[in-house]
Amino acid sequence: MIIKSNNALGVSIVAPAFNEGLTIISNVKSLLSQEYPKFEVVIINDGSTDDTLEKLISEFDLVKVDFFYIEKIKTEPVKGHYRSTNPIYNKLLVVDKVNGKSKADASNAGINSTKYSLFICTDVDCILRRDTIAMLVKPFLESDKKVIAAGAALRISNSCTFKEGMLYESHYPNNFFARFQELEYIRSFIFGRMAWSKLNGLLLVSGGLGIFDKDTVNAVGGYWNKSLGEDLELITRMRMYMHEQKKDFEIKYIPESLCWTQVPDDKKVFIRQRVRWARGLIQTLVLHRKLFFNPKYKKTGLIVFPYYVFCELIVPVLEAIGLVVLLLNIYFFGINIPFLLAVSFAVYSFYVLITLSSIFLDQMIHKQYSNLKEVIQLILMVFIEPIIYHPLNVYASLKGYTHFLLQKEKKWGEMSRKGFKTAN
Amino acid sequence: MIPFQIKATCALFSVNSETIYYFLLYFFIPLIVLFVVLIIFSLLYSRYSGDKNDDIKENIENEINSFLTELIFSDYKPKEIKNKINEFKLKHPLNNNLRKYILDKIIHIKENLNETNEHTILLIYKYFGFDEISNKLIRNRKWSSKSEAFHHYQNIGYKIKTGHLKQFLDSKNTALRSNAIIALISLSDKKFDVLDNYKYNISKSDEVKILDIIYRKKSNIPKNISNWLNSKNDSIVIIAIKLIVRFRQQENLSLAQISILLKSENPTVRKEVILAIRELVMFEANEIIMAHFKVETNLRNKISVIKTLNIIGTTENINILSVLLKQEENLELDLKLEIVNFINKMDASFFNNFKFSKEEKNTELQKMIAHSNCPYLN
Repeated sequence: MIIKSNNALGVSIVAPAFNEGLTIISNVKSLLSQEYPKFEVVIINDGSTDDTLEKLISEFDLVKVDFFYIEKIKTEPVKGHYRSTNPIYNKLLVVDKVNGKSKADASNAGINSTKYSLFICTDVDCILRRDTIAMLVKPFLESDKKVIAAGAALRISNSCTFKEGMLYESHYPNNFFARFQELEYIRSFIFGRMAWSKLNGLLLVSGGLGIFDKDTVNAVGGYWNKSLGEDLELITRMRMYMHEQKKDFEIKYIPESLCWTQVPDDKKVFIRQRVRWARGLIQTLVLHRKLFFNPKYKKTGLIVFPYYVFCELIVPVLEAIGLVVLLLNIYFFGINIPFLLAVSFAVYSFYVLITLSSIFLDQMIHKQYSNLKEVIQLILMVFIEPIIYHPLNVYASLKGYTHFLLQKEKKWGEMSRKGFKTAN
Repeated sequence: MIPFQIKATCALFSVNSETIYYFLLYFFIPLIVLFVVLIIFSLLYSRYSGDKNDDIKENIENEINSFLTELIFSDYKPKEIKNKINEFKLKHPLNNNLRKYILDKIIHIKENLNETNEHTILLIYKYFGFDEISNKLIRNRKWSSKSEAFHHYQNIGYKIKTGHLKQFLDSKNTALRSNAIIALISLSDKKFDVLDNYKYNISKSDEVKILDIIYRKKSNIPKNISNWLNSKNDSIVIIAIKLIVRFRQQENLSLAQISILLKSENPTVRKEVILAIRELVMFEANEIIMAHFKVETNLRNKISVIKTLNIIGTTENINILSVLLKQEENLELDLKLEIVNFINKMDASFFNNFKFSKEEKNTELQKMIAHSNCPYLN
């Protein structure tokens, strides 16, 4: 009904692109094919050194226009705005800017160029479900309180097939790393985000897909371009702002898979990504440490922020310390093998139970995979994950924390795009 | 027996080490393992049975489609419909999944085809025994089940049940209350008097649904619309204004009424009035809206006023707004751009002789004019 309504809220989709020449055309077409009456797609060419902009100009008949750019959030210089001369693409706006060495800076330039009061932030390589805008806008229409942001579940696109820019068949990834990340995504989105949303305690709306109230984002100064976890950092600041203004607000999670994204499928890129995430986490928590058990920030200060400190930040450190203590114990004092085995197995089986419960809920809600065989593969991976994948994550987290403490220069690195499998 | 070594190590803890060990070994681990096995079994079984059900549905989909089409579009008497349904039920024993599938099909047909006979649909619904299901759902304690029953009544057009729904209009559960009001409006006659004394806030999505129901009923504008405009409930006022716009009933929105509504403390009500003036092209409201512009505090509403002036504005507005441009140097850029756009559209040569004292302001103005003149940006 909302899709057909003349009273729909306008929404801008903001998608930064840096050297995305390989997939940019199909991805932009996919974004333009959203089923919603009032939206625009703002693509930010963040100083690409490949042919991203040229391809956009030629495919969509773009011309440079005299766009009056209001720089509400400070960004690297914008070189120009492009619109299509073809009415079919009148929802497309391309912003060409100088590279700011961060997705945050590109997103901010996009936000400055949007015309609607709500915007969706996504990655240009993400494939969105056709009703994504309609689904994401729902909390803004339904809630009595002011909704400042909302997110939805992301899925992994590595082995999925796509047809005309839309998901055709969903498969459990073939790749070793992608398989574990699928498990992690399910656990995080089904258990973590859904529960925090119920408590109105979401501190993270994924950078891959989130919708935001533009006025609130502008009021807090947009994404912080020095952040390595800009999505977490923005929501933290938005929550702080709302508490300081003494305004009631909500951040919602929509339990629907609306977005498919490619994840790293080799160890090097995977570790690099996780190091950055860990560094972003510690950076945000240190930067906003005044929130820690601060009653002024109510739930955010008393529950959500301490949770992130104790359960997200400290846990990898505790795990590493535990391992060292265990080794020292074995070397100097000997070890009680039956007791160690009992405790280890209890922890392991509890971990497995949590992951399996998430998969169970996911299957009940989304019924994601094409066949039973893939579900069995997924279940088998659950048993290996704590032994093989989890230690890698802990390693990456510790490396990220160390980089932060040593103030190592931040590096984004590039994730090479492989394009999507397309169905005939 | 637990080995001595373990006892020695665990003596450090205040809890008896043996207790922990035996708790883990004989309670915690077996319980978790049991849950793990149960979840794996349920996961595989639900997937397997789900796939099987999908196969069954796929196999009889054509049969169900043609059966329902025949029932709905033939002139069968009630007794014949009953017999045919009983025959179908004998041939295909209905489990819960299949029942839900058929009910969804009926609702889908009812929603998508305008020429269906409502009475026949209702008979099919009853003879399949779906009314029993709906009754059970409405008696269920869960609000989601009750809402599902409302959905059935609403989409099947089971008007006799409106009495059952009224009790939920004062429910403390917002979602239940919202679903009840939508179902009631859908099932009510064309007077929509259920909204007359409705005191709760109506969300924007419910607003869209209510408007859609009223439009689809192809009724005239509700007669009590003037009462709605004076309602203390802002949600009802907003719906009334939207209906006036939709039905192009300008006579229901007098200038006096506009003046009163623009004084509302709720910026959304004020915005709705400004949009109504634009949509209804009410040139006569020009002075009122211009006067309102000076006192409006909400930036988005101010911008909305200028956009409305793009439709109903006159050259007189240009003078007032150009003075404002010069006087208020720190005007919000969004608003300034909108004003420049308006003036430029009304009089393309106006800015030829218009200069700010500061050069950077003139440069900014030229950029705004260029934006306004760009054919691909407006």
